[in-house]
Amino acid sequence: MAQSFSKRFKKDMRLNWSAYLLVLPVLLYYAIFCYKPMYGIIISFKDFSLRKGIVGSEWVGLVYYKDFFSSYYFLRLLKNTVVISAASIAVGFPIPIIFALLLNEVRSRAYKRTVQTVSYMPHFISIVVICALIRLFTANHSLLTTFFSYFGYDDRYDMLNYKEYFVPIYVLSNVWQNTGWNCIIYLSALAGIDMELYEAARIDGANRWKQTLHVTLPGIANTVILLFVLRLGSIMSVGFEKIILLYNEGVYETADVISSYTYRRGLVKGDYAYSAAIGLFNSVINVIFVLTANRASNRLAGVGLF
Amino acid sequence: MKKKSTLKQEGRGYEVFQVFNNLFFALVLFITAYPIYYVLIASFSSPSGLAVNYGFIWLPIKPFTLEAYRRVITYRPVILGFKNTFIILVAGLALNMVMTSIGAYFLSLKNVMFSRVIGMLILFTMYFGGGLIPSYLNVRSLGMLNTYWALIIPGALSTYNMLILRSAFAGVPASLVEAATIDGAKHFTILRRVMLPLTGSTLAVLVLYYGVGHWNAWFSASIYLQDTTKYPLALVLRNILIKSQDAEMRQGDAGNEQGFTDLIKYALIVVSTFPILCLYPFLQRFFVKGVMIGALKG
Amino acid sequence: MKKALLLLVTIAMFMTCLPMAGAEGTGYPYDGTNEPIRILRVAETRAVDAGYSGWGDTPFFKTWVEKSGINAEVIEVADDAGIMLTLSAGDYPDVILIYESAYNGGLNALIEENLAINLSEYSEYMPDYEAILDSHPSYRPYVTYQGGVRFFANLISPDNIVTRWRDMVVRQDMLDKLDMEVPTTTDEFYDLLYAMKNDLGVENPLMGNMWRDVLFYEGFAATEFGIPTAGSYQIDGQYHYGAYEEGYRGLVSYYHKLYEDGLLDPNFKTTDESTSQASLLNGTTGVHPTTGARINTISARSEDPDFKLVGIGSLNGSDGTRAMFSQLDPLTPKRINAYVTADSKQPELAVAFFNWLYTEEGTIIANFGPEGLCFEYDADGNPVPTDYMLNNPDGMSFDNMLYALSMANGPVYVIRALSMFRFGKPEQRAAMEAWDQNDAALYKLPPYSINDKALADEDAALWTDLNTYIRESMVQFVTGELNTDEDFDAYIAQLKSMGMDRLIEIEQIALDEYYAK
Repeated sequence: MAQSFSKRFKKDMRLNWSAYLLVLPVLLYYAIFCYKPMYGIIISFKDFSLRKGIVGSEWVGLVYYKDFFSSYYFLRLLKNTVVISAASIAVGFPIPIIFALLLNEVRSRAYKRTVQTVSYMPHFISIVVICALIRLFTANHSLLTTFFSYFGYDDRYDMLNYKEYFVPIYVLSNVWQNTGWNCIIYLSALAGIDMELYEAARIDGANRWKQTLHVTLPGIANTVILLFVLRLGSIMSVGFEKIILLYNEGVYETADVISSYTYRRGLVKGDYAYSAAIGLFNSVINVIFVLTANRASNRLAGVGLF
Repeated sequence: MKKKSTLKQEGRGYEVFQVFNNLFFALVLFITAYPIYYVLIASFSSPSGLAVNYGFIWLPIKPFTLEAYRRVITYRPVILGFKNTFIILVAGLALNMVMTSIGAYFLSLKNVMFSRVIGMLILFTMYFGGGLIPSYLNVRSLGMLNTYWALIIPGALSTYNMLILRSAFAGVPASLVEAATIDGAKHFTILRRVMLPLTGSTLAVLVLYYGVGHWNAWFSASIYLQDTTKYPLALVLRNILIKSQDAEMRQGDAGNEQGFTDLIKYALIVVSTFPILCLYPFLQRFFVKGVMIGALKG
Repeated sequence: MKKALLLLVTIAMFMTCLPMAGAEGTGYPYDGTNEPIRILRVAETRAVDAGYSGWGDTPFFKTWVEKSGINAEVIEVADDAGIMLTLSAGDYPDVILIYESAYNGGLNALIEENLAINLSEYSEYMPDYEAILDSHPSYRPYVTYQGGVRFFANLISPDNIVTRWRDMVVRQDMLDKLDMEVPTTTDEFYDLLYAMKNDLGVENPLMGNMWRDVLFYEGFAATEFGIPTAGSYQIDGQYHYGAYEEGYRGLVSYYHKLYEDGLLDPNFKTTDESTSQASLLNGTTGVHPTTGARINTISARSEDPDFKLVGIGSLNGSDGTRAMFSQLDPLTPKRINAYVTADSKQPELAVAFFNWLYTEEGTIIANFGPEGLCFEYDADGNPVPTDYMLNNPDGMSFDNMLYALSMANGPVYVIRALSMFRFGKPEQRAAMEAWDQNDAALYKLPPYSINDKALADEDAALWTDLNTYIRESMVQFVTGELNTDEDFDAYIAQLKSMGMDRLIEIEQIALDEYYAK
């Protein structure tokens, strides 16, 4: 750009002033509700005192971080968090897409609608009830255990006793609960594909499978990539509620994650600054992942967040 | 739609695929329907029967009782909860859609100088925030404590949703935008007459996302509301679930409640999930039909 | 002239003494013209369940205000975070009603932040509370810190029925069929389980998701092996942790034997409450760790007329040593306390307001609820709860009604008369008797806390890791994954290297501080 900053600025203002005006409420929103309280991010470096407030409290630097990193179980917690998250993404990300694609092929509109409406219902049931059901399914002499007994599993034992089964149970039950809900965005993306493209492909002699490859998939590609990049940005966010409801000390080896450990720590002694430190640590890792994924998708697919 | 003829055209392989596909979805229907079915039949089964036969049930256990529903429906906080959630939902959703649309539109513009910077700043807020105390003090200083506004305005925008809509806007063919610009349309008009009509299915998804978000939100209510009469349904539901967990640990006589706590839990889930399930069919239309962009070109 | 002057002075003195009339505590009711005392607490939702708009609107609270003559209002927040947020906004109340553990940093932090003033400076406004504090040696040390009384506490009267609320039960009908007695030693217990499995065909004789508490932390079988419990305890003021002692080896071996011989539920790690209750009801289990309240619930659900549960107390040593430990609430349980903040402009009235709860009349109402609605006096002058409380038309349990309409787990002097009603069912009372046959009072730790912030942080960090390891190893010993012969020494060494000694040191410091009071 040969033009100077002020020249470009003036030109931009002339052309786009209506755009800036239009987006003003959004900018105000972020300024007031996100950036104004942002100073609180320093709480994890302070010895928080209510009377002094966040700003007035004493600095203690990295004390909480050192505390967390020097835990005997730090590496295990990190490993479990990443493993569970990665497995959730590897399994849980493609399945709703495939589900949507298959559902799209269903001829009967009534059947399609019924499946959609029913399959997303488990998403609304509270996690407490879902975990009770998971325990029921995987209990001794129950549905899944009896099924697996034909493959050599000793069905006198609950499946949640085994640390090898925890991650599969966790991930697959997530799929069961959330696929119907997660595929909605893909269904809407599929609905947005221009019908004429299908017509054109059919005229060119492509069968349904080829159509899927050359029309459908490219048509939802942008959505898929966007959601994938964003998904990677929550890699460290394995919520504690479901873990707590399903785990027991016999499976800590694979089930104990950062959030469940922090929860137990909070029971011993509550400390906002400590949990804020963990939160910040998680966020930093999340951001690294999202920016890396974004750059990769920009290079490889030409599209990304920015 | 000329579906039938297309089927014949596709050939045998596709017909076989159809059979398996339909069977697959029958299985899916079965396994995803079970949780709701379980909750439904458990909600009017006999409490002692449920306790003794704890495990899989395929049929409700006699003697049936509607006691749990009676208690839930006559429980004032639940009725108030519905009313409060409805108010918050309608107002919140309207604000959400307006804000998300203008934000997404702005971020989808190509030749605006600051759009990238602003986009980065917005993305930053998805990962870093001030935390609970500064947010609370902020809401308080704006005078919104103990009002519905505290549940509507701070949650006016979800960056995640906005990025989805932005992607949809970015997918609108540039030729249509050019045509509108040539006709003299300014940004607002482009948004209204080109972008929004063409992204109906995405907008429907966002209505669903925001709607369900409002329906299930309890945390903001728990910190910003003092009047228990303003509690939304999700918070009421959560209070009951939490209480029923520690009710059982009570040291004294618990016999009187006779295990209705479990039934009430299920009845509550049925009662509070039902309205949302009714909303979905209305939005479904937007996902199922295709969009004839070609027609608009003419 | 002199006489007139004397009269004038006397009248003047009398006039200045009038506002102090309430100071003796017998001066209730006050004149009720004060600015309301603001009390901040986590919402008591059971008040809403009972049909009131909040705890501050209940007949109990209104009676309290009326009878004490001091205006007060309640500010309720949805949960503990809400308390912290309200305070952080600078909105300080006169009184905070909260569990000490719910406040980050405990009593020490409350005092540092000027949220718990020294109530002893207003001693003349709380004569009834002071009298109660003096009535038993364990009360005053509990509430005293940094030179004075710091809060109004929930105190159990010494003559109260001893409350045990969790231990082991067994189905009486099974005992009868086997013609066996309630076991009192580890050998008898083993024999009972063995007989249940082999003679009665009971699939999992011992099952229950409270196994950690009863079997380990409440020392059910520990006495035999020389330690009171697998958890923390004290001997002569010295802090010990059972799972770090040599006796623990024998304890886990014993439980491992139960597991190996099929007498302990093989899914003990994952079995939940509903499943174990169902098993107890349908006879696939016979011995079950549970709470007293659940004895009533479970029995109510049984359709079998012979179904009866009896309690098994902690087992004695085979050498005759009486069982050393069990679950036991001290006379000073850590419940909701009332702290007066330094921001209160009327600390005397705040103190007097809470002192009313400890007066004779106040104690009855704080225990039972307001007269008429919640209790009546019978012919002997004893309070009897009304049907509204005991058989509430909306189906709320007696305990929940007490939460709504009395002080329940807040600051109050809990009297025996109330406990007789709360633990009224005969089966439950009999079980509690059985659970009382031990010396837990000798070995229980007093309700101390770690007051130094740095030590408390260090303790929390150490303990989270140590407890994780202890709990993991615990189940591994029981299942046999870890061998009690080969691996136990390594286990102890591992605890040592993770800082167990330092933890014990810190706890001891805190314990010594408490005893010094």
